[in-house]
Amino acid sequence: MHRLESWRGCFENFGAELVGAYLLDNLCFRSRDQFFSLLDTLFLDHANIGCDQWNGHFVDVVQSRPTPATESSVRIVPVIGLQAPPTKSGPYILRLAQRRYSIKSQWLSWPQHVGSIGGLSELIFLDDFCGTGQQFVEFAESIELTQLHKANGSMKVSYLVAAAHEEGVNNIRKELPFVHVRCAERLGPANSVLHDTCFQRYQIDGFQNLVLDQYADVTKRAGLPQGKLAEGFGNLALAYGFAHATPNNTLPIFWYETDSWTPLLDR
Amino acid sequence: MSPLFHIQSHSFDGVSVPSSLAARRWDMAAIGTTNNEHLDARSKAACAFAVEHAQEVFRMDFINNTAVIDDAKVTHGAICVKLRGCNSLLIEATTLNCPELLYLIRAARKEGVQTISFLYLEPEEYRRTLKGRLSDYRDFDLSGNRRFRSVQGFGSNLTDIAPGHAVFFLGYEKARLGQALEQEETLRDWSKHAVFGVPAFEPSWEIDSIANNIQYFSASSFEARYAGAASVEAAYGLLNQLMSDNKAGIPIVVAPLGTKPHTIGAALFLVEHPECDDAILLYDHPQKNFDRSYNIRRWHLYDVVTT
Amino acid sequence: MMTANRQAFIRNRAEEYGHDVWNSYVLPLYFDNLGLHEARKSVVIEGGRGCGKTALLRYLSFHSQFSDSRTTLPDTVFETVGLYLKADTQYFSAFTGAGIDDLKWRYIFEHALCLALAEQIIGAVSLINCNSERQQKYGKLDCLNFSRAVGGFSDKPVPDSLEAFSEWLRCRRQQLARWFRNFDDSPPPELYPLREFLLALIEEIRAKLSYMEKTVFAVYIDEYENLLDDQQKLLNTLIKGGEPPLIFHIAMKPNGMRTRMTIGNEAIQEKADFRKIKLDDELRPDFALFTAELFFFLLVKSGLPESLTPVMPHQLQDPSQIKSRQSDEKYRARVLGEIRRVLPGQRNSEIAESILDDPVLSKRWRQLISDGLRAQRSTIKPEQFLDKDFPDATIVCASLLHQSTKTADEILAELKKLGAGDPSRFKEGDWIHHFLIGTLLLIYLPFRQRPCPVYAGFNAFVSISSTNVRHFIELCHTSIGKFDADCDFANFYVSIEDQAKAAFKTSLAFKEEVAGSGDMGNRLLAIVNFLGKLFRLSQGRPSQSEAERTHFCIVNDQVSSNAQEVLNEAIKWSVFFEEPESKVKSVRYESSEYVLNPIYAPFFGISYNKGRKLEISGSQAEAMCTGSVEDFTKMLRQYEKQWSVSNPDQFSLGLES
Repeated sequence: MHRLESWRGCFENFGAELVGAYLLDNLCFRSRDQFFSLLDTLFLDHANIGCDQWNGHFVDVVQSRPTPATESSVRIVPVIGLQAPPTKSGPYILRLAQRRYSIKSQWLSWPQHVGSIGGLSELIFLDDFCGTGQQFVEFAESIELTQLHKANGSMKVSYLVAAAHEEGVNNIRKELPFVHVRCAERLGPANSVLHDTCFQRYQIDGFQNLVLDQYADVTKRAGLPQGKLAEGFGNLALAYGFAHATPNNTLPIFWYETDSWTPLLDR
Repeated sequence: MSPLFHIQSHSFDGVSVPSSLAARRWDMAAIGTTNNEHLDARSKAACAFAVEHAQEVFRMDFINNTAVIDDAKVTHGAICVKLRGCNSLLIEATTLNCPELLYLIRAARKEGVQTISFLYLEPEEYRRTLKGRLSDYRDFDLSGNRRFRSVQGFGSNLTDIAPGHAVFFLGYEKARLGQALEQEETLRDWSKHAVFGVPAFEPSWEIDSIANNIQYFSASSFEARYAGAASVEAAYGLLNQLMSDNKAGIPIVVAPLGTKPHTIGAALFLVEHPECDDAILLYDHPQKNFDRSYNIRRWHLYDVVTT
Repeated sequence: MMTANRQAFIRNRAEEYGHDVWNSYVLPLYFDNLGLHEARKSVVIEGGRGCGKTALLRYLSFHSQFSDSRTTLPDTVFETVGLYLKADTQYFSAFTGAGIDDLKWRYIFEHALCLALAEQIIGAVSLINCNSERQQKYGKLDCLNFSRAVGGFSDKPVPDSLEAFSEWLRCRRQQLARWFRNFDDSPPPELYPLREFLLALIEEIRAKLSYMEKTVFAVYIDEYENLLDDQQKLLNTLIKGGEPPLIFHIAMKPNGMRTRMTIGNEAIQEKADFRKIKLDDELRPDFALFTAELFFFLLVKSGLPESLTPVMPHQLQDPSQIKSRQSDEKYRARVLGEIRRVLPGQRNSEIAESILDDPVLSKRWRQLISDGLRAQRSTIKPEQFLDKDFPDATIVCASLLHQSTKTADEILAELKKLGAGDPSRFKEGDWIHHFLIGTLLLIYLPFRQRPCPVYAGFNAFVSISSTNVRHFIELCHTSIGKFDADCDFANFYVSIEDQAKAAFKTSLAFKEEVAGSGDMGNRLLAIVNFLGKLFRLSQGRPSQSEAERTHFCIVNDQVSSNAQEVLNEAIKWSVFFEEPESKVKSVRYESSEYVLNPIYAPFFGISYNKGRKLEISGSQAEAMCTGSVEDFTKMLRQYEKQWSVSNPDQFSLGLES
């Protein structure tokens, strides 16, 4: 609450209350409980999809001890960003999921060990956010995922991610066509808050220009990033955050700190 | 105590019939009212699918507190007779509402229907547009609200029973919760839960749901909970969790005022707990709003088997 | 002290106090007028939301009258024993359809009502004997034989003793509930005829318990308006046939009786069959004193020593003291004086003065003055209208200069007269009287963030609450928040700013609450928003020639029955109050006057007084009651244009919160 007041205060200081209200009206913030609900969608609904071997019982399987017959049926693997800045979200949320669904650790694996598991039938990568997809593509390269898949053609590869932007989903589909991306929330043009689609629901003359002008003015004067990062990484212009982290595709005005700007969210 | 129903969800993006559903067949299908000229595209597509994929189709409605099948008033017994011998039933939940779902599930369970499937087509819709003055849409919401009226077989006299949990599944229509709290003042002493659809059908829709209901949370304490808007499993699981955590056996009132998948989950839960002081429906029978013309964004099929 | 920091005003609904309100009920000053204790004919209690219906009925019911916290029971309390019943709307409203015919449903409803009331009768007898002392004094419960009393109504044996009979009744009720869950598979339970069954019970009690030999049982049915039509007819029948020892009274919102028919072919008639009491009318004359008493009563209940307040709680709960509370002018002055100290308000002239001292507000005043002068092409300098010795007159000039009937020279001349101590139109011509509040609100109108002192003070709170006790309590609660009972109460008061903020906040909260008001909640909220915006537009006109416009009437055309239904519903939920027209103009149709509930005034920045009337056409009223969102915005635009309010904010009226 205190953070919100300070953040609001910043907009007032720059006479940009309208843009502040607009951004707040479009902010998707996932509290811890909300994030758990996203995980539930991934593990209880999506993990079962398209894989007949689970028959709706995916969680039951990973809760049980592996037997010689089942032990190579699935591995869940955290996505670890090798790019700077390193993100630890993957292992963190895998731990959350493990606790929430009582997953036996035999079903988990580090990415670098995946290659050593023979005859694996399903490989599941887990992460909290996918923006442009670039990070996952680079991660896949780093662990030679394409080669792994070639060596074991029957292995189903899924990427479970709490929230993904459709640009990232499309990008991965293009670069790694064998990976099934499943997300609990799929962001699209309507979530790019500085772009036309999002403004369309405000059918008010001049509204968009006024907000954009104010936004440009306040970011400049408050010393917020200009140029490439001005609309967040990959120009996605999102207003999206988790209680535990904020994607860099979200507008810096939410998470960037300067002498005259107190951010609302933690990066 | 493990839940009675096992739910398997299938979701498919797109407007047309998903290829993996093309081969599915059911013995019977129940659909909602179709003889309305304002029926939207999604309801038409859903009913057309049901008609194509079931050997026998019947139309169901709930008028003046009475279940109606193909324009004839029916009792629970008559619905049972209708479903006798049916092994697989498709319930078209895009067009059917809470009371019909309850009657159908209860009868299907009684008649031992092996697979009950629910079809639901998600609308292609963005957050509601704001025209003219910024607040006009919030200020002049003219959708009719209705009185809460219990459905025979699932209701109880709330003034006669001890306070328990009241679970409100919420959508963006703010008047519904307000009406419930105004009309059923006895719920003031209950522990109340507000369930929002998160993840929403589309990210950001939950903002409207939360914003439109938040005013009631200050006057009366609520615990906020979340369940995927499209997840029958999450809604059903949440209620069952509450029931199994509930050592004292206090009653649970369920008010399905949110998404249709949540309503399906709530209906399964209500049928599973038939005792009058176990699980109680609180429902306001909203008028169907036909002027909204939706396209289809996503198909959902939920297969439910009794464990 | 355990009592510190209690929220003295947190509970503002009778429902939150439970059934026994003996220790928490402040007797309203109209209590003697009701004569409910002695009533041998039915009474219909009509009252808007929050006027104290439920609390009154609960006070009259046996739960309070025989409360175990009452040390001695006077003999008179046995003359009438009140039974309170509020039906669970969602349950009883489902007593229809489902392939069961209406007649059968009526019997089932009658049966349910019968069981509930039988349980209450037994409950009353038990409560009278709730402790050993009372058992010794009253007792004789062993003499009661319920099997003999009502055994004939059942095919199965009915137990004799009170405990067993009470348990038997509970089982009958559960049986009904179970049948309701399973009604398809099982035959309906055995049904009992209400009047016969209850009279048999009552006869047994009167015959066996000497202390109740003359007792009349008075049933109070709360929220009668929520019953189905057939259920109302059954109650109307009970009202018509009611006579000692069993009488039926009902309480409802205005317009709550949808049918006057009984289940026969007769209708019930006011006077012949029942007496109607309008609680709002009863409450109005002494509302200020009553709310002040209630205010101090609640503070004492939250721990403030009684001696620090001007009231004595036991006196407020004693029927024999009502007369003296009402007639003792010194007492009245003391109570009102003290609450005005705790909830101080500013006189309008003081508000005017503070506006002139405030840089932002005085700039707005100056702007209005110079706009008016410019429109008149006057060469007088704005400063000439500034006379700090007469702040109220100075403020009023801001709107006078916009009135086409007055010239700047004329106004300045009058101001000079006033300054010289001569008679002027400001005082003697009522300019200040007519235009001051309107102009104060006009100056504050664009500054929604600033607390407006017009809404602060006990007097303002009383006006804003109209006759709604709940609204008054909530205004106090929001103003004071946590009250520290150990505070230095002689120096305790709530600042004007806090009160004004609370008024705005409370106003917004109650406005939003309208959405949950019955079957047309959303429509009613839209109407409140529409009228609020409309009156705000009127309030924003610089001339203020139609000052303090907060009510309307419909002229020239009667509205459709659908629209009339919406108007009735709005009155039922106290969204507006209906008053007979004030001025009759013979040549045209004119409806009643509809006054917007003043609780919404602080939010919209309009007056809580009933000022000038807005006449709207039948078609506009029709659109308001039955039209679409587009109709609402179109009408607002029309008025905006017609009144040509200069609106610097192109998006809004400045109402977006």
